[in-house]
Amino acid sequence: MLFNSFTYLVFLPIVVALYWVIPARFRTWLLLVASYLFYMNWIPVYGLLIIFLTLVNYGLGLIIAKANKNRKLILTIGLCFNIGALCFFKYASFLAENAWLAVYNGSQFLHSVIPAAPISQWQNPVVNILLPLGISFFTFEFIHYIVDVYKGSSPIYNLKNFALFAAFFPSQIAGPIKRYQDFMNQLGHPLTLKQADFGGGVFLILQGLYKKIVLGDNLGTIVNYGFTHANQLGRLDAWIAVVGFTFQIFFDFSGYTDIGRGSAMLFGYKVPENFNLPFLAANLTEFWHRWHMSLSTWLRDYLFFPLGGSRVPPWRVRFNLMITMVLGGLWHGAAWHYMLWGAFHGLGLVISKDWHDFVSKFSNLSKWRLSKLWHWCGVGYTLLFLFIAGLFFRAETLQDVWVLFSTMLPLFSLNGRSHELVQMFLVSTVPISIIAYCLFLIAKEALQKISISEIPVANAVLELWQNSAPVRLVAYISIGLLILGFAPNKMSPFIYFQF
Amino acid sequence: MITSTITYSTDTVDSKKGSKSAGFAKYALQSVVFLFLCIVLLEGYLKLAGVGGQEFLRPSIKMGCEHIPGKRVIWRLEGYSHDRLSKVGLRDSEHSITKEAGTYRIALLGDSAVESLQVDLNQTFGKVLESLLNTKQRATVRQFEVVNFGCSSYSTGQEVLQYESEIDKYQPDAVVLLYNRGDSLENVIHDKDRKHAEIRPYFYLDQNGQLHQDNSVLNNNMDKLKPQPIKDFLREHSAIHGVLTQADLSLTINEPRYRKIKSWIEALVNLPKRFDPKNQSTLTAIYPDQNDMAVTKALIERLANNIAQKNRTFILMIFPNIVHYDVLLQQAKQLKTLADNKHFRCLDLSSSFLADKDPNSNFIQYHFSKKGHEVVASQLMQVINERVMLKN
Repeated sequence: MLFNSFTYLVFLPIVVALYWVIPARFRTWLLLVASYLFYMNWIPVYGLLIIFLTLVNYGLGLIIAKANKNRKLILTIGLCFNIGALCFFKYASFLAENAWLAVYNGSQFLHSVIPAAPISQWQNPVVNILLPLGISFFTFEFIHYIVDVYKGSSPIYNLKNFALFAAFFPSQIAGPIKRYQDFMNQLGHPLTLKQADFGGGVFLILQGLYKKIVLGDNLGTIVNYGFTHANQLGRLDAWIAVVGFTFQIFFDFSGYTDIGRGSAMLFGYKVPENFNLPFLAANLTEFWHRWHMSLSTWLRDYLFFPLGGSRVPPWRVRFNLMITMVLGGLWHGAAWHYMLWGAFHGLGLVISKDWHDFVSKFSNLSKWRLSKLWHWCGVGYTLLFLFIAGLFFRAETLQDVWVLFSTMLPLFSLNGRSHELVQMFLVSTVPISIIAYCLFLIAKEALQKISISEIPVANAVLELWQNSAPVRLVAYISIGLLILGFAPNKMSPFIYFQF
Repeated sequence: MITSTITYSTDTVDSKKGSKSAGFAKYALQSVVFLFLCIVLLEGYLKLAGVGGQEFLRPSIKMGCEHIPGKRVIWRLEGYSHDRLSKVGLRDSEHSITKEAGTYRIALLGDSAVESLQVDLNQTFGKVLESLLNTKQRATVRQFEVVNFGCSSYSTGQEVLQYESEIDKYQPDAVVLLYNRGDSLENVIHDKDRKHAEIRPYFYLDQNGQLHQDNSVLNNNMDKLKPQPIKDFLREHSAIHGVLTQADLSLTINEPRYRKIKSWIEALVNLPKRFDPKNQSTLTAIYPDQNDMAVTKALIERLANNIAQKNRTFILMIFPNIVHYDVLLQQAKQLKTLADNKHFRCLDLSSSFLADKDPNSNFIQYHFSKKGHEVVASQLMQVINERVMLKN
């Protein structure tokens, strides 16, 4: 079920209403059933997969917690099981196709050197496995669970609670990747719906829908056209497509997270934040502390640290960074361009770290580093890096990457190509929507700094907002109408659903 | 003592009641002001952003629907255009009914493919054709004028009626009708579809092959077609209304569950109608289910005869079929035979579109792109040239 679908618009209010109406002891059950319904709305049989994985990991957690010996072996089995499930559903086709390509090209090469050598007759294997939605996310949650239990955290003894942790629909399909300790502490609390939670939840959902539909989807139309017509783009067109994609994926994914977090708040749950103004990061390391935070902390805790983290010789640190980012890239999708994207980010992080170390050696440079100019130059460089990295992420072939990259550079002639994408962008609703969104962010930031009680008008509005349900209702409906008005003709799924 | 106490407490209750009702009135007033403010802000912002301006049709007792005259339309559904419909409701610039001497006037008839809201007015094949003819054919004719009568959702039957009631008075020298895939199905109504049929006139052939008009669906929905001042005002001026209508349309097309819930609600609302004997009678078939192509050919024949009587030129243009869709291939074949028998020109656009290296680039979804319009205009220019030469 898509968060931006009509079905969800009907589903969520029904579940929320039922949740607060029924006795508290049945609420976990309701959320569990609702989560399975949510998941099985797409392909019902995959509901069995999530149930099966839940049962196995629940058992593994209990066994690891109780076992006195062979704990490491049980953990290894658990890790292999979860990674195996992920590999089977996500990477089987990729691995089979690349194995075939390797054998075929190898035999071709051998044949060209030794004509007597036979050419491989192995047919290209077609593995038709439909990727279960959200498998990358809940597999990582299971891995986190069994590793933490192995490290000494208390396991979840109640199967129903564990099943809800795994299937909780607001974060089921595309995260944020939860930590079970945080989630379990919230089970069954609060007993009544607080106005702040309700208001905050609705606000986050509307903000998420605005980001996804008004900004992400409308940008997506322009970006898709650009990437599918890469050969015909002018220079400015190429820039719009590439820069547009970086912002599209942000609006799409952070929009999804907002809707998920907002939905969770309506049940009184807090799901971790995933984004913190990532495009204001002054370097790549900071970017990864602000972008998809639940994944980057997961990769740090369960991959980078076990590999040795930063407490190893410098060459190993660089190696660990590269490995972490390449695997992080591959986690996004079973394709070479995702791996390249990860490797590009890994390289960027290595350079960023080395640059940081280099600057630290010189006191003059270290002083400059504190200046605003240095900071904003860093923001600019990081953004430029992200735009180029986004090319690897979005383009389907390396040829497309090169075509767009060369089009963006002033060194290459374009033979007077038209600026169709520029026109598309200018007549679209994207510019005005971005301006409105920026004004909203500025106002939000300003409101946090200013004491409202000092401004009589703001005080009156706030009082009205807090005391009048009809006013809030009208405001929510108005924002809903605004989103509806700017929505493209057909809803598109979230980009991160495919991961 | 007791009395005074009682008096005192009554006063307190009254004053509390008074302050409560005053407080309620205050919040009610504030809410109303806030609602008004929201509507004004939303309308302003939507208009500024060019959103909610896609509603351009209004109900018509005779045709089912028609363009809203003078409506500013900002089209974003597929492609983009930002124009105002003419004062008489044409997707065109203003044209006077009386034709200037020496002017060769071409009337374009068809549905959304002719209306062409997906591109700017100057990029439509009508405008491109006019410009081409005026630059290349000035030697034979003083001036060419192309008038676009295309209207979304129109069937062949509606186009024939449109010619007879509106276009004839424009005295066109040539009439071009674009036949689109699916048009034939829109001309007839099958008995099982009557309840949920598009509101428009339908046609049927009697046992003797005579063409008749079936207005039962129009009559059955007369309450929706009659002027409704508030609704009509909102349709013409409100961007919020436009957003809601557009959302309803998009959801109806794309969301099966929305369709289902909507049909339940409609069934519930229309429950009293089901027991109304007046409505029962109009929903009953008076003729057997029709062959849609036979009816369509009869309609085109009627149009061709009307045009021929006034010694005008008729050109039937067939929408390009680049995917070799079998139904349209068969229909095109039948229409070409009809054109041969009735001596009018039939222009199948398929071959010229298929000659393109990238035929898909001529389309924006199901409509012509800017490039597609140029192809249509150049094809049509050749046919018009032939006809003008013949006449001269």
